[in-house]
Amino acid sequence: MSVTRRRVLAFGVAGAALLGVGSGLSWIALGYRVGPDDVPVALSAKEMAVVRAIVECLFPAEGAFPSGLDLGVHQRIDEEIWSSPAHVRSDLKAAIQLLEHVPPVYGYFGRLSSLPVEARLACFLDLLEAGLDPVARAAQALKQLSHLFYYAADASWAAIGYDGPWVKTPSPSATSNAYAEAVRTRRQG
Amino acid sequence: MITHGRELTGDTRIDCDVVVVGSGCGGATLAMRLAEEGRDVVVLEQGGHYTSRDFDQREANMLAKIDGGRGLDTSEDGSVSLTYGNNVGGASVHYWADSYRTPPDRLARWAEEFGIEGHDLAALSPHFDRIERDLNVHEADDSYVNEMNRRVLGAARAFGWDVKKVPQARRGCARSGHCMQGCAYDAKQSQLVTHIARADALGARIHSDVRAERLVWEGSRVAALEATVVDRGTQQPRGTLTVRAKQVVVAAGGYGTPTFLLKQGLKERLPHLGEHFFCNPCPMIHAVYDEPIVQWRNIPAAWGVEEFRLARFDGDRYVEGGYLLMPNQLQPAMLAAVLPGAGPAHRALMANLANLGGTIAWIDDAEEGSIRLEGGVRKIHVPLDGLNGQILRDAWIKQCRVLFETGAKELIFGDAADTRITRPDEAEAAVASIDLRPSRNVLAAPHPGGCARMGRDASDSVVGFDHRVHGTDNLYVADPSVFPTAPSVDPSLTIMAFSYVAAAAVDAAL
Repeated sequence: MSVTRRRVLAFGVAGAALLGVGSGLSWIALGYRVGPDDVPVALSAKEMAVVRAIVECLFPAEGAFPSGLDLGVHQRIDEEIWSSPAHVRSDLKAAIQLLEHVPPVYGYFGRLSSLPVEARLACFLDLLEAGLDPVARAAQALKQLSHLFYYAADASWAAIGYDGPWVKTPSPSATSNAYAEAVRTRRQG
Repeated sequence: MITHGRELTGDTRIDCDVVVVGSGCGGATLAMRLAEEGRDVVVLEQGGHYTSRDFDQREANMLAKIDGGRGLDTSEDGSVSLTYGNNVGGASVHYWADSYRTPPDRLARWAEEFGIEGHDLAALSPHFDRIERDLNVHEADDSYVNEMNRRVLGAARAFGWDVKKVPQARRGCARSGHCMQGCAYDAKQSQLVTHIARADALGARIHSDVRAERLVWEGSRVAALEATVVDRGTQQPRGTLTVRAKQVVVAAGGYGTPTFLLKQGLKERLPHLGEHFFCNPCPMIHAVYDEPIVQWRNIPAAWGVEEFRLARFDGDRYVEGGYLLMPNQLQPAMLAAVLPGAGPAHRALMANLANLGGTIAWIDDAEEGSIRLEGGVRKIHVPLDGLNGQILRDAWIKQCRVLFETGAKELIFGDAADTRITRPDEAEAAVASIDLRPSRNVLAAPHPGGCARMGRDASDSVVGFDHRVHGTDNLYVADPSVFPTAPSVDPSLTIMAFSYVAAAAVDAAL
């Protein structure tokens, strides 16, 4: 069999409400900055800043573990969202918006990306276990995507004792190549 | 000849005897058989065509290439991850190579309870014989048994449970453990290197990157099939392909076939279309050991516990069982995604990767789900309460038993509440506490089917015993969508054997 695995990108029953909240908040985009090397293609600058903030708190550099930002996990999430079908893409963007603005409901004073790193991690863990379906599902989606791409990166393998693939030369997918071209175009433009 | 979408320009028209939508176990087998009979066969596959040269064993790269929905698709409430292929060869390219014949008790049930004709043990046995020869199905020797399998075997034997070697479709396996990323050594006998290769050699025309869109009807006969040629990188349309065939076979898999047929507006005259869905939801438990397990190498499941394959009842009261129990195998990135929580606690688990093992159970669905369209988007309902929920909980209980017997020090359920136990006597309470509501657990759904089931007429089914869709002259289904229930084992050989029957019916109609 082929097992697995990852999930939680379709928001189903709660989707309508989630999308409503997300689109309702998407205008609040002032003051967001992406990193100098970040080139979001699918995400807005605000959404990229939120994803960046999540990656920063989940994957700090520590011992043999590299920083998630150094591995470009946030950029890889942008690629995945860019490559996804339209309905998945809109669900994920709405999820990011929701995670950014829901923290006050859980007792945190401020937007997720504006919280200090330690508080941001505590908040994200609370959202993962949230009783509200759309919030937990949004947090699960970002958690699973970020962990998938962090540990798919060969720079993370030494820290976990994984000896890596036996095929030594990576072969990116056609969508990866197309995304890289889109990034190049955007960078030039 | 295998033609990639990028090789097609503009609008292309093809005439042939048979067009087959989908190239997995169902479509590839049927295409091969018809090609063997000298028929002019065209196969349309919406995913890409990749070979072992493209299988780089990197999880993220391979998810993007061969997993439907890039491995991120779920049921409508997020409860279950949908696992399916999106490439020439279908899900067989990323399956574990487990190759069971349909158990005789299941074939008998299909005949007695659902009135299925022409698919009994006598009819299918010759096909199983040939499939097993062609795919080199065999029991692996001990050099292919990794530490997790060795421990599960020992524990099952200690309990006196029925545990058997899992039949393997392999030839010269390298033991890399990257079955789910596509076999870089062409050792796993997927459809890509067996039935597709033979169909190709016999002259079948196989088109990748072509998505079937619409059936054009002339009365009750399909006159043409219209498809879109997609750019593999951007997934944007780059042309059209129209196929005029005498016979049309939909073999797009347990998720794809009902979706395609629903999009043709057939639900009204085929009320069972999209109903009776099963998918073998798979609950898993992760285990922490004091010693290295290295779950990511060698054959995923060399041994399987068959003791609980059939559910046991006391009258109407469920007692136990209704699943296969297997050693689990996940590569690190996927494992990280399904382990519970995040932050330092999650990182501590990953730092101990070599000492993590676990098991997985394939639930033989006792309650049916459904597939429907909502605004053109597929919605899949998988019921996890009721009897399915009871079976899930029993599967967790038995996994706890076996894992503690293997020497595990801590068990991790992977649910949202991050339930963990360290002693066998904690198992019952822990399992009882698990919340089965949506998004609380990580369950995979690798074996979908049932939504175009076989039967006598449209009052009880979607296709007849010849696999032809009721009320049509030349439209057939050849994949697990036609099964009345899940087969209770990995379905790949059952799908192929049913396709032998379907191919004979299609051939006879030409």
